[in-house]
Amino acid sequence: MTRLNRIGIALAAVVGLLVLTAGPALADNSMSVAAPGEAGIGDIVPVLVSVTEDGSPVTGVVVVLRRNATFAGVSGYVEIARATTSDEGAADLSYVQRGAAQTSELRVEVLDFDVAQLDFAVTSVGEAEQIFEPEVGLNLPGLGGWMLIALIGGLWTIILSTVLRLIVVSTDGDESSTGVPPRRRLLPFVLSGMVGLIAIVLVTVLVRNPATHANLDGPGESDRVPHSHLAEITPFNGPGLDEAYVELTGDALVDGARAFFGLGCASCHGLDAESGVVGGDIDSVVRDGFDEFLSAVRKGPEGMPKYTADAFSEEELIAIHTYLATVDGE
Amino acid sequence: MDSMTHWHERSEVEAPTSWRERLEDRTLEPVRTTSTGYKVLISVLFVIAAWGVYAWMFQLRDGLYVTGMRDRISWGLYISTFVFFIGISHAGTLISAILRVSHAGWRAPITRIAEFITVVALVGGASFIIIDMGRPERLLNVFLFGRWQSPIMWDVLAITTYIMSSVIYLYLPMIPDLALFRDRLAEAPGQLNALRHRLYSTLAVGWRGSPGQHRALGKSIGVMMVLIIPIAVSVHTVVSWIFAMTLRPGWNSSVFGIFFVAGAIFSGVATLVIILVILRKVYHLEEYITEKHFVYLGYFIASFALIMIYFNVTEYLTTGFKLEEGEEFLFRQLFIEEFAWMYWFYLIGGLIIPGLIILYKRTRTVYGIFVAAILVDLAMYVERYFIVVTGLRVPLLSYEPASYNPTWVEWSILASGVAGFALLIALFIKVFPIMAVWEIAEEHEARQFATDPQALPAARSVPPEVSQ
Repeated sequence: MTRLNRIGIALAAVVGLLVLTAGPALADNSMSVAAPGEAGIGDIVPVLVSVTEDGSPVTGVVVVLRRNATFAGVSGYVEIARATTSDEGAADLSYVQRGAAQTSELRVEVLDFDVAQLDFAVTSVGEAEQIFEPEVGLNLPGLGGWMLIALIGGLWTIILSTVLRLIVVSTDGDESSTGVPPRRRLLPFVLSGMVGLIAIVLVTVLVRNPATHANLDGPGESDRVPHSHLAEITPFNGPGLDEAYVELTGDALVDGARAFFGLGCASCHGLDAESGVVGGDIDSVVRDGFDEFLSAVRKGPEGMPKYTADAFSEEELIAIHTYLATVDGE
Repeated sequence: MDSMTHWHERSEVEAPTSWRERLEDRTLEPVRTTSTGYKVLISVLFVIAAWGVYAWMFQLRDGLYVTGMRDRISWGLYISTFVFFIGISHAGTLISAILRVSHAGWRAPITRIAEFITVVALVGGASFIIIDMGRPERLLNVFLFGRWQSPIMWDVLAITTYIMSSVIYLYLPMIPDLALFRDRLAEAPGQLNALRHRLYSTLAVGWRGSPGQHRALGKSIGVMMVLIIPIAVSVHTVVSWIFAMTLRPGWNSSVFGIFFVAGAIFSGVATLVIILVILRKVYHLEEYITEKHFVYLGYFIASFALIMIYFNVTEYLTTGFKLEEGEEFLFRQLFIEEFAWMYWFYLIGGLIIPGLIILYKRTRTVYGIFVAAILVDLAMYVERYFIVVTGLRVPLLSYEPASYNPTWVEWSILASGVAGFALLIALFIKVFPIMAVWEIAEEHEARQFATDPQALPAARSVPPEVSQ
């Protein structure tokens, strides 16, 4: 092969490459998307796409519908539907609108065809009907604390009745008796009193049934009585892993987050402070300002422990409040 | 109970026989005389119990660190002992309540001891829960802040109810016998007897055997004997739910409730046999507690051995057939590795061999059944232990399986618990009537009025059905 030939082939290849890459751009490719701007939650939303090249429909290309999603801190577009264009260059796509009062950020792309992707959004409207997130647990009517109270109460009433009958035993037969010791009536009364007292204690425990776990409530309970000997080796400094952030960084957001998770707030109130299994939603308290927040922590409303200054310093609480205010804003 | 009236009217029906006097003397004998052997036994048991208290002081001072329990295996000997004791507490309920409800006459000489085992075992079991706590002073929090959503709270409710009703159920049928003690011991002079007289006067609540008293007491016993059966069943079901309400291989089982109840009755009857054999020998109760009683109790043990084998098959076959990941680990350690010797001892030594001893006619003697009962109790303790420990040992996350070895503190407290159990029983027989005199007399009269003048016929001459 001559040198000229080789140059010719190289030139042809370059030109070919240029044509290949620039060619489609030169062509008048376009895509149009028809979708409603709003949709009810749970509705099947139609997305109609038509693809044209120089004004004529493009047949047999694959159109993909993606939706923006966040999972475990990673965001991106997830494919939710795909279709091939018809002879008319049209692709019928659809998806189910999910999420209460949210906007679905959608994107349509055509595979192996040079046309710009198209982003659009569909807003959810109407009342949020729970269609995919059922409530946790099963609530059977009648099955609960009151049933247990009735069971325990009934059982102990019967037990008490058997002991009360002993009073009858102890008083009967007087007329025939000679020198029956007077002490004999003591025991039935003591026994009945004991049974009655235990019954009342058990029922009271059930009726009180606090919203929080044991040994957290009560004034000063969070400064727990140190274990006589263990306290010398590992002093108890309040709940959680407080040694992890003994040194404050000075950045209220960082310190607040560390304290919220490290001191154990999150274990009751949930990772995003929007109420957990035990603790309630604290958004409103946070919004009411630091003073309200401080007094709530110190007083311990609704079965929450009273956290004294030994458990949480005011400095720490300022940091936690600052952090929660940003969480709350979302 | 109309049959109780028989006893009340006894003096009119027949004069006090020598049989009757012999029975009363036999029952009074442990209270009247104290042998050197008894004193030695009490001292030994007391020393062992005190040693356990000493060991417990270490635990109170240093925390649960002194035990072998750690983060991954957080339950050990204490919880096994708790379950075991709660289990043997079923002896009293079953023998006494079920047999009383079904009017099985042969129960009479053994009910009292069975009921007392129930009360003592419950006290023992409940104290092991407190021993298992690193901070026992927080027990009060269960009552201050207890939540009924927690299975622990169900246990507190069930066991409290069971202890109270067992005490009442032990006490009610004892009242006529306590009155007998009051009257018989009043004659004797001396300060000790005066003290006894005061005690029995208080406990006997002025029992004179009047028809009104019979009616009232009979009603109370009637209510309690029915009520205590569901309470007892609920107690061991709830104890098993402490485990079964947890997502853990080996515990996550729907048959656990009835499996534990069956195991409880099984070990309870075995414990009753052991104590009966000892008391019968020491206090010469052969006339009342006959071979027949042991054979009947032996049949109980043998049939419950079969039931337990059946439960083992259903439990391990259904999970083993599917063999999920955690179950595979559990099966390996239980059947061929670390705990295999325990499991196979339990199955062969504790279920199959005792069953064979009882079913084989030549070994179906008092001592044969005694040996079978000891095997059953050992095996049932081992079963409680491996259920607790093997379940916790299965790693649910990717970590090395932990090991658990009880320390001297745990062994000491276990020994102390067993000694304390024996000590309380030994002290009880010194104070209270060990046999229900009025029930035996009533049963004896019922038989006398029938054809056979012999008090209690020997076992082999009587078909094993529950008569009367």
